[in-house]
Amino acid sequence: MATRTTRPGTEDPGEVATSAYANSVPGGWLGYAKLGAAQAGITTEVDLTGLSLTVTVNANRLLKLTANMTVSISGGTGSRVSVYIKEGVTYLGVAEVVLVSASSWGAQLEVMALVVAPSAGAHTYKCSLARNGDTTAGTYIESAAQGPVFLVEDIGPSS
Amino acid sequence: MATRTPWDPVTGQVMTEARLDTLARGWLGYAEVTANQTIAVGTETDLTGLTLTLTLDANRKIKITGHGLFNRSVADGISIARIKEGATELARFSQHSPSAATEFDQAEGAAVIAPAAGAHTYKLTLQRFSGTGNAVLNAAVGSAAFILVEDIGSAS
Repeated sequence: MATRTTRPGTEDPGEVATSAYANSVPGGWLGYAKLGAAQAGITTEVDLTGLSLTVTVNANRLLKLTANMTVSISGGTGSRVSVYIKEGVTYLGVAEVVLVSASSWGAQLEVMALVVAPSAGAHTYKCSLARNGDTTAGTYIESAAQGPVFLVEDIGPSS
Repeated sequence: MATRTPWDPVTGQVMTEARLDTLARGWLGYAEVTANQTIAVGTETDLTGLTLTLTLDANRKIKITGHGLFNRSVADGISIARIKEGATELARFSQHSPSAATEFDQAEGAAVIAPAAGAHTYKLTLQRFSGTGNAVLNAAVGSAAFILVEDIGSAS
């Protein structure tokens, strides 16, 4: 567990905003991607095309990674569908839903991972999807303009 | 896809406008409701109280989040919520209730966009996309449905 007290809201008129102050506030978004086309036929875990981001991280920062998408199944029942956020082969976060029937539109999944103080420099984060328990038909991830998003944000200093 | 690296302040640097502009500015708008809303037809309907009009600066990236607890009165279909500006759909998120009408699902969707400077109005809608009965936004004190707009940094 970690906590901190933020600087914004504590400054008095006339105080000089130092680099320490600037470092205490969120840096904002580092990377953003949307899925370009629907992906169908997924059974075993696969990386989702287009949902990979290589970002350059400053030192001593805390990142929030969020992926949001709609998944459905084209057949079968009782499938547990899992969405992961990973760096390389390391799992950082997972969200799961059980879909009990095929449908024209599926269930919403949001997975969030907090990566405490990754080292400064380049990091590549990605999303993958798997269907567990029933592989008779593919998992389908919806797309188009309203489709899945993957966002990497700097939410402040790591300490 | 886009990436960027915000300003990394070090001792002795001058805090210029350009450097400050790279940082996130926080929330711009927030609206919540704490009462249920029922959509009894298949037509997409604006959710009462979940519209925000705000004035945006130039060259900013914003994140619009829609959040709510959904269920159906008949367990036979899909509900879709949308984040929209006027008739333009920015994002959608769904609830899938094929087996249990008493199933309540937390759903959340987000759009990340870089709008033009000026006034913009964003809203949440709900549609009974398939099936029968009612699509219901369940909201109460302690489990509010909301729309949140945040400035997450400069657009470039």
